[in-house]
Amino acid sequence: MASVRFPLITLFCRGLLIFTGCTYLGYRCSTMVVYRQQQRIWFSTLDRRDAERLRQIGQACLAYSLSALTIQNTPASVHGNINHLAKIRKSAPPELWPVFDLRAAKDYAMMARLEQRAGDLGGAAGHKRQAADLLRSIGWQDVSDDALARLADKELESRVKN
Amino acid sequence: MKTTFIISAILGLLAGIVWGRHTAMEGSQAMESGTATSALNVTWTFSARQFAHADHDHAKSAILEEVYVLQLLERITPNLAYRVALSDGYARLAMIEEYSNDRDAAHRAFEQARIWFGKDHPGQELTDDQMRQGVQRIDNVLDRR
Repeated sequence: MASVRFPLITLFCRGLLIFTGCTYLGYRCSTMVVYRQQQRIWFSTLDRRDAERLRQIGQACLAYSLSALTIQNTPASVHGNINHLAKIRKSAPPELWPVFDLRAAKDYAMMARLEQRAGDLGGAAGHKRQAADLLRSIGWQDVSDDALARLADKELESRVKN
Repeated sequence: MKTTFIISAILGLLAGIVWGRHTAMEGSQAMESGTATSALNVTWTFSARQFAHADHDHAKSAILEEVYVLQLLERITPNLAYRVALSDGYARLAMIEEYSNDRDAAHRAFEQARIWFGKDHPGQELTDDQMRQGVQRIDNVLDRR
């Protein structure tokens, strides 16, 4: 057997395997403990309820910002962002839902504009309607075609989509 | 042989703990800063947009949420950016109360805006009009973005 013929190599390999496994275990445990400890320190000036709420809001806002960073002016990218945001919205606190609805409305308006430019008038009308419905749900007063076109153009021109 | 394995395990655990601690410290600092910056940016931008386009009730609730988040962030890590945004948020709230003809609420909100502004500008006191103009200027910049 190989282990009998090469005892030193076998011993070294087993030792290395144990070392690697224990390094991973130590790494996972210590990151978890330190991360929780840091979170407690960061939120130490707040009571439990506020700390938890701010933690949820902060995480949702961070996910929202990272998602917005990746939007490109193509229908596929905008559509992907709408789906991704819908997932984040589900786990976000309800008070942030209007923020996600506004982003989705902007995305639908952008989709409509891109489809309009590509000659897909049917698709554009559908997405315009979805944008208008979302904007109305968050209290926007002007959801006319012109207002939606302005919103879409501004978003398409803007490098920062937030 | 047993001794070799035990030593490997102990060394592995120690290396993992040191490495994990270092990574988590750096990661959590970046996470805290990223979280706070996004919370400020997202809630402030949203409330400014709602102020410009939505009806009073929706705009007011967006501003109240922004003010709540910023006050919590300011309690955790006091920062000029939060105080500026708080002053702006209260000025917007005051303007909404004015549109709704609630003068007392508008006065209280303008006072709060003045208090937050005064924390970094001792001795300087903004008038209600100056605060309204400040909000207008910020909205013009946001509109061009």
